[in-house]
Amino acid sequence: MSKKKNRERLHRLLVYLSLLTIIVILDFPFVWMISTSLKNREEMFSAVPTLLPKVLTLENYRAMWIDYNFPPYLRNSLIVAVSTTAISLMVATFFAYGISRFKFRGKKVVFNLMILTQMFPLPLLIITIYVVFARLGLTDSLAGLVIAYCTFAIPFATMMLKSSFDGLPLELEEAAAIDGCNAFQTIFRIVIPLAAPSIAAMGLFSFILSWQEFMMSLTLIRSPALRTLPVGITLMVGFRNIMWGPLMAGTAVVTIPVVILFIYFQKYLITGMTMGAVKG
Amino acid sequence: MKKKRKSTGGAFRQNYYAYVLITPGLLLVGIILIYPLVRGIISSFFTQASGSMEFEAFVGLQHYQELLDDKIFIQAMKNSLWWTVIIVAALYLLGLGIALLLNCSFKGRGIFRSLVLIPWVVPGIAAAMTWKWMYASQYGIINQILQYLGLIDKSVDWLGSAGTALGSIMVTAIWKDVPFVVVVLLAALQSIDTTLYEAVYIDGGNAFQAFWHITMVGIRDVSVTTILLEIIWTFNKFDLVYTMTKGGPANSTQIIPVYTYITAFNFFKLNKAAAIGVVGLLIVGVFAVAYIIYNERREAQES
Repeated sequence: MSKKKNRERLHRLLVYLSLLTIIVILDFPFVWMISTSLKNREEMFSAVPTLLPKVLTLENYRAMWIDYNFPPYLRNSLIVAVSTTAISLMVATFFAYGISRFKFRGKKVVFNLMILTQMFPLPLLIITIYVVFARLGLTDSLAGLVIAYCTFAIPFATMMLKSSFDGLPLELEEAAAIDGCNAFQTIFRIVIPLAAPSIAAMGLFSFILSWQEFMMSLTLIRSPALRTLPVGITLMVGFRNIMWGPLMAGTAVVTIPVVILFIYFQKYLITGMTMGAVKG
Repeated sequence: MKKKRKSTGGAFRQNYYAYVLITPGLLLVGIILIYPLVRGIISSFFTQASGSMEFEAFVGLQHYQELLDDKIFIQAMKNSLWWTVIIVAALYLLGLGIALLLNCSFKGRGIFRSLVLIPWVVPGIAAAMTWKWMYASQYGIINQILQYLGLIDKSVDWLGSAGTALGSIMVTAIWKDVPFVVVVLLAALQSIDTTLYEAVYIDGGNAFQAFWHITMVGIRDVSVTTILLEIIWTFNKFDLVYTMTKGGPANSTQIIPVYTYITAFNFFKLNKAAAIGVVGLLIVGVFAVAYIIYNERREAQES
C-alpha cells in the first residue's frame, strides 16, 4: 500500500516540477518585458541582470509618453478597436442568425467561404485592398481601417456565433413568431439575451484582433498622427540605437489591456479557441 | 421549414429575412476579401503602373517565369518550407506533452492552465519586440544566461547573423502558438471516456497500449484539424519576421508572405508581388481544402 502511495507522490511531484519548468520558460518573456520597463538605465544594462527591478522607476513610461508621442497612438487604437467591435458584432450576429435559422440556396458555400477567408494570405489581399482604398479615399483614415478590420473580424465571429445559435432551443423563437415578432424583433428580444456570453466572447476577439493588428495599419495609414499602437511601437526601433526602456514600456501598454481582458473573460475565450479547431 | 411550399407567403418572408440578415456581412466580405483575392490573382498575369488601378498589358505567365530565376524567391520558398515544417512539428509535440501533463489531476490545475496561456495572449508585435530585446547581442538576457551557463563563449548576434536568425524567430513563433495547441488538445483529452482506460488495463494492456489505442485515437480528429490549421497559420505568419528582421540578414529569414509584401510595398512591383502571393495561396489552398473536406466527412460520420 505505502509503496503505491509513494509512487503516486513521486509521480505527482514530477508532474509539478515539469509544469513549473514549462511555465517559467513560457512566462519569462512577459515578466521580463514588464520588469525591463520599470528599470532605470543603469540596472537595465548591468553585467549581472536582475529579474525584478531593485529600484522602481516610471522614467521609461514618461519617455515613451512624451518623447515618443504616444497619446495619439493610444487614442487611435482605442477608437479603431471599439468601433470595430461594435460594428462587427452587429453584422456578425445578423449574419450568423441568418445562416443558423434559415434555409437558402448556397448556404453551404457561404459557410465554407467564411472558413476559407480565415486562411487567405493577407499580403496578397492587401495589394488590391490598398489600391481600392486609395481610390475610395479610405487610406490614411481611421474609418478605412475600421472597415478593413470589420471584414476580417466578421467571418470568424459569424462562424462562432452560428454554432452557438445552433445550440439554442427553438421553442422560445417559435413562441415569439406566433406572437407576431419578425426576425429582427426575435433577435433582439430572444436570441441576443440568450446568447449573451458567446456574443461577449466574440466582442473580445474582435477587440483583441483590431487592438493588435499590424500589417493593414502599417499599409493603409501613412500620417504619423493617425498611426495605431502596434505600428507606433515599431517606429520606436530606430536604425542605430534601440531605446529598449521606452520600447518595453510601449510594449507593456499594448500587452496589459489584453492580459487583463483575458483574465476576466478566460472561460469564454477558451471556449472560442477550442471551437475554432474542434468544430470548424 | 419543410412546409415551405404550402404556405406561399411564409416561404417568401422566411427567405426574405434570410437575405436581409446575411447581405451586409456578405457584401463586406465580398468587397474586401473576395474581390481583392480574385483581382490579385488576375493581376499576376498583367503589368500595371504603380499606384494605378488599370492593367497595361497581358503578359501571361511572365511574372511566374521571373520567379524561377529569382534567387530571393527560391530562398524564400526554402525558408518557408523549413519554417512551417519545424514550427508545426514542434508545436504539436510540445503542445501534446504539456496537454498530457495538464490532464493529470492535481491541485491548482486551473492556475497552471491560465499561466500556460500567457504567450498566446501577448500581442504579436509585443512578442516580437520583447524577444528582440531578449536576443540582443549587447545586454540581451539570452546571451547573458547562456554565457553564465558556459554554453557560449562570447555573445551571439542571434537575429543579426544569417546562421541563427531564422531559428531564433522560429523559437519565438513556437513560444507564441504552443498555448493554442495545448488548450485545444487538452479539451479533446478531457472528453475521452476514462472507463475506456480501465477496460484496457483489465484486458491486460500496458500504459503504452492505453496511450496509443485510447488517447491517440480519442484525439485523432482534433489533432488532424489543429495540425492543418497550424500549417496554414504558420505559413501565413508575417508580423514576427517583418518586425524582427524584415527578412534579413542576407535574406536568411525571407519567407513567402514577407517577400510578397516587400516586393509590393518596398520595390513597388505589384504584379510580381501578386504572383508570389498566388504561389503562397496555392500552397495554403491545398491544406485549406483538406481541412474543409476532413471536417465535412467527420460531420457526415457523426450524423
